[in-house]
Amino acid sequence: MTDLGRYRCGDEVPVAVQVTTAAGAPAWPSAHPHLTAYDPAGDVAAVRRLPADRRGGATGRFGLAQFLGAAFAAAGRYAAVTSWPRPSGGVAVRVQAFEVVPGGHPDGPPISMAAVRLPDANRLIWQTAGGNLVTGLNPRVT
Amino acid sequence: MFLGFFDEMAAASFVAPLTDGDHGPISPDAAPVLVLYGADGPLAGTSEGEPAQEGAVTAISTAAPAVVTSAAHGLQTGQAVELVGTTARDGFYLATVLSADTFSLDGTTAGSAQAAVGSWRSAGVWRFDLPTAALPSLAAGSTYTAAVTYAVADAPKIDLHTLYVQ
Repeated sequence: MTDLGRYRCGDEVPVAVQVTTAAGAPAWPSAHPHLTAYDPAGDVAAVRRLPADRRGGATGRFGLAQFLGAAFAAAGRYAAVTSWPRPSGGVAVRVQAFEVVPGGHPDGPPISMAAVRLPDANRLIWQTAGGNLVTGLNPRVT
Repeated sequence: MFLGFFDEMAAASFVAPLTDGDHGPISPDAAPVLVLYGADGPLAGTSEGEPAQEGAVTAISTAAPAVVTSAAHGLQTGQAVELVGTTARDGFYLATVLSADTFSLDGTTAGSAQAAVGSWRSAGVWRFDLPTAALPSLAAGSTYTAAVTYAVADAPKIDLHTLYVQ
């Protein structure tokens, strides 16, 4: 089992698998691997299909950055279980783990921000890593 | 393998795989058992592992692929499951969810009718609680070995993991 480290709610956890043959050679499976994340209580927090990672012409490599949204709000140890059909037949399973520590926000940090002048007031609009648009008064814009 | 950092005196659990060197899940004869080892030997207490997910099977179709009926199974497509205690379908499969109460087993061919009973569980994925009796012995700043013991066809097996107490 691999420990992926510590994160806060709103961060992204990189999860990757390398599919190989029984002899250890990289190979493509017949279907995409799936990631199942279990929360500290043992409940399923997320199930995602891992996309192929073809950077560098890699064979059999899959990965994603799992966003730690509201389903990962509880601090504690999470398990990231990846399953895929083995090229040599049967099923393969890999277990990784990461820890969510207190702090952060389920929406994640702002990834873009703009000041907007409106008739009623000057406002800030920003987009979070979770994909939400948020607006608020901007006391610094006059 | 490294399980991560655990808080001193705090109840905690972790998920560990029972797999071979090629990530193939292993089916133990009985639930695996966890024993913690410190610098001076084994700590008090043991705990029995539980599948990360499990459920009862009430029917299995003879179609290809086979369709399993399990009330409120909670699975999602792509998860690996193991069927145990069925007449002819015991083994590891990837599940394709058809409804909240049914899922199919990828790659299965038509089978014979059976009085389907048994259960399914996560393939090779087990959850362990740290033994309660061992908690007072876990000292911050120390490393411990978590030994998971089980048997496959009566042959004893052991997987060793490491955890750090902070």
